[in-house]
Amino acid sequence: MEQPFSMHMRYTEDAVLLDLQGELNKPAEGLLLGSHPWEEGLQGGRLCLVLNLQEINYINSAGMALLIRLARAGKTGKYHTFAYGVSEHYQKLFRMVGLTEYMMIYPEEQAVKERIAALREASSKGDEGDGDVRPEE
Amino acid sequence: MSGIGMAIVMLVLWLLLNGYTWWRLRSPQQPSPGMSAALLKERFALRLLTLPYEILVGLTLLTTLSSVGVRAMQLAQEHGGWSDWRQEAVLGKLQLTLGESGLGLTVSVVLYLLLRRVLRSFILRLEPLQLGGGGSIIGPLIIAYAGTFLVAMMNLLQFVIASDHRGQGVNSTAFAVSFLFYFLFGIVVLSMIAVEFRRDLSAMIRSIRELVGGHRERGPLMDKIPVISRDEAGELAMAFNELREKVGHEYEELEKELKLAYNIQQQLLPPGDIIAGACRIFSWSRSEREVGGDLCDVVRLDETRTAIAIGDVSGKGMPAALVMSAAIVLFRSEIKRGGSSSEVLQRINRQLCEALGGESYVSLGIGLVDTMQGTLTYASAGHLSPYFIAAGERPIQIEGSSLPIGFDPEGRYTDVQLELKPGDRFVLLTDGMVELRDRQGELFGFERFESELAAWEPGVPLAQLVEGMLKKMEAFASGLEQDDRTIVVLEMQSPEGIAASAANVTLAGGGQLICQWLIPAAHGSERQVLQEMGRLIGENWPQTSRLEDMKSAVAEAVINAAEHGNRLNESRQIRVKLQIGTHLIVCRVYDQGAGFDAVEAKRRELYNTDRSQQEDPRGWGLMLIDGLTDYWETGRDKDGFYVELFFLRKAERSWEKE
Repeated sequence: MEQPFSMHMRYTEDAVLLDLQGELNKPAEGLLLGSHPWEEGLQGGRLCLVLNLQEINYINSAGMALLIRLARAGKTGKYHTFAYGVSEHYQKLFRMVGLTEYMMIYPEEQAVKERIAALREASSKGDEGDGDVRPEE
Repeated sequence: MSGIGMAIVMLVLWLLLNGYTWWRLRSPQQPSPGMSAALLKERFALRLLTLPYEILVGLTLLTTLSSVGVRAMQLAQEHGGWSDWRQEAVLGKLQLTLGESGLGLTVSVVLYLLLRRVLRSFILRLEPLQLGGGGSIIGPLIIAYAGTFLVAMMNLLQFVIASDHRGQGVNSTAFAVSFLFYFLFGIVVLSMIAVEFRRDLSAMIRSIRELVGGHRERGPLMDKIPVISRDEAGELAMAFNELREKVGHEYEELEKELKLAYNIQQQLLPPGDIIAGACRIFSWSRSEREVGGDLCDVVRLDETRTAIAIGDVSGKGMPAALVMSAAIVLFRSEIKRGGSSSEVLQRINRQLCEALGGESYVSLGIGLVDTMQGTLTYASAGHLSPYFIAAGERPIQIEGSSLPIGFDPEGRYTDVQLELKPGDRFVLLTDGMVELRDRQGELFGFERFESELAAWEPGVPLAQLVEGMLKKMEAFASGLEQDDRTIVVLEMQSPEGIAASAANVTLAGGGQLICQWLIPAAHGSERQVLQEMGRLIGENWPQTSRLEDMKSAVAEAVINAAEHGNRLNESRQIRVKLQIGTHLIVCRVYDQGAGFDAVEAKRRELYNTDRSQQEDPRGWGLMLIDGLTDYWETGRDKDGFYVELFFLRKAERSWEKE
């Protein structure tokens, strides 16, 4: 049964959280990339974009291209992109297309939040912290 | 010579004996390159085997020579020259020499026997398979006989000389006792040799009996018996090993051929769960030997008609399997020529009668299902009556009597027509399903079988129902070897069930499941295919761990076909053809575009990682296909350009191991 793409935006002090649902494919482009001018940065100057993919039941190469474009916009918009709730199969596909170069994948929301907190702490101590926000292997 | 002198001589002898034994039993030298472990073992075993002879000869010579030497020296010391010697003195020394040499020979013979016995266990541990021939049981027997004879003669001669020396004449009682002692000694020595020989022969008789009885403990008749002597028993063991090796190799060859025959036979059988239009057919077959005589088949004739067959060939093993294969091939060709079930049976009977020549027969049941009419026409040639289970009702046996195929070329058969409604089931079986026996010899029987059928709930998948029944049967039989067993269950599906299997599913000649979809060239249209494909693969390859990979690869092929082949023109349809075999899944995705060359694509642009830098980073479809399939290629036929994806079950097993 087809489940059209939908999304819900949440905010925390440091991050914008996107709860994505349904099928992430070409038709999702308008809603995902059109909902905000991502290259201008996140709302309120937040530094992290967190994608919740737990409710995404299908991703194809077009959907992965959308995720890359969203994550790549972070370079000009000055934000880091995180994702959680990605099945092992899609993690494998993300690695194959190089998406993991742009987006850090965590198993759950709490793990992402802890990573963001650590990043903020490092920044407040004057550490740039830009280069080391990757998940621990 | 003083007592000290004698002690020194004994010590030297003792040291020589020990030194020699140590030298012979020391660890084998570093083997030369190219010397196998087996050869090294055999050399060491040969050394152990010859040691008792060497000790016997060495000790006898040493004791005799040292005794003669010592007594001669004594004689020379006691008398100034040869002219001065007296007969009594010479006889006295001769008597002593005979006694000492006799004692030495006795000890040598006893040592010889004991060493043979002790070293035997070490030789057995080495398990040599070749020791060279040339020996004979006569050798040890002569040695033992000559040794004991000499001992007896020397001691008795010493006895006579001593008596004569003392001038008292021969004491006949003492002589008789001495004679009896050496006689018994000789008997014991010879018996020990004979008993050893008998034991070697008994071991071989046991092994030959194992071979005849087909016992296989360590492999296919490759167990060998160690060669622990160079006599006739050893040669017999070597000849036996050669025979056993030859039989073992032939047995292995036979096993390989049977395995090949098994694989061919399995390919002839239909896949377990088949959807044929509005009916679902589940089949299960097991032969107790490598190849069996049960047969079943399902052939889709057109969109609405499907034929099923079940049969049992008389006899077992390879002859039955050959007849089974011939019967399936005949069924497949004759059913396509048309006619009712009984007419098809008649044609098959005529052809098989000639081939079988009255030496074998086949019971065969054929059912023709017409889902449009909702009917099943069944005819039987001496096959076990099938069961019809109307939805919610008890099973009814469909009676019919006729001779099996192979008896009468003019045999006539009768059609029985049944009306099939959604939920109705039709169960075909071979006699092995009801002739199962438990440890007490009691039959599983029709009553138990029928009560199992009666307990089948509606709506439960056929595979689950049959599996449940088979488990109960296994428990009943407690692992005892049984006859070949086959069951085929047909179920008319409810409208909901039919909707769920909307794909156009057919069966290929080889029994593979073929599904086909026509979908519009639009984004998202692949989802319907993926859903149905996932269900079909899940049913046919239930253990697969690559379903998601298959779905993603097919999705990318469909998206490519829609976007690049048919340019998202929804009036131009994409054809997806899925073929599910027992070891291979092949999926073809057709479009009406100009196509591309897979080889060229793999060479030039597949792994272009710069795409992520592009404004719209696309074009990973082929890369994903390449990474997720075992092989893919492109081609063109009457339906257009296609991308073909291959998934191997073998590759999947290697993935699972990793």
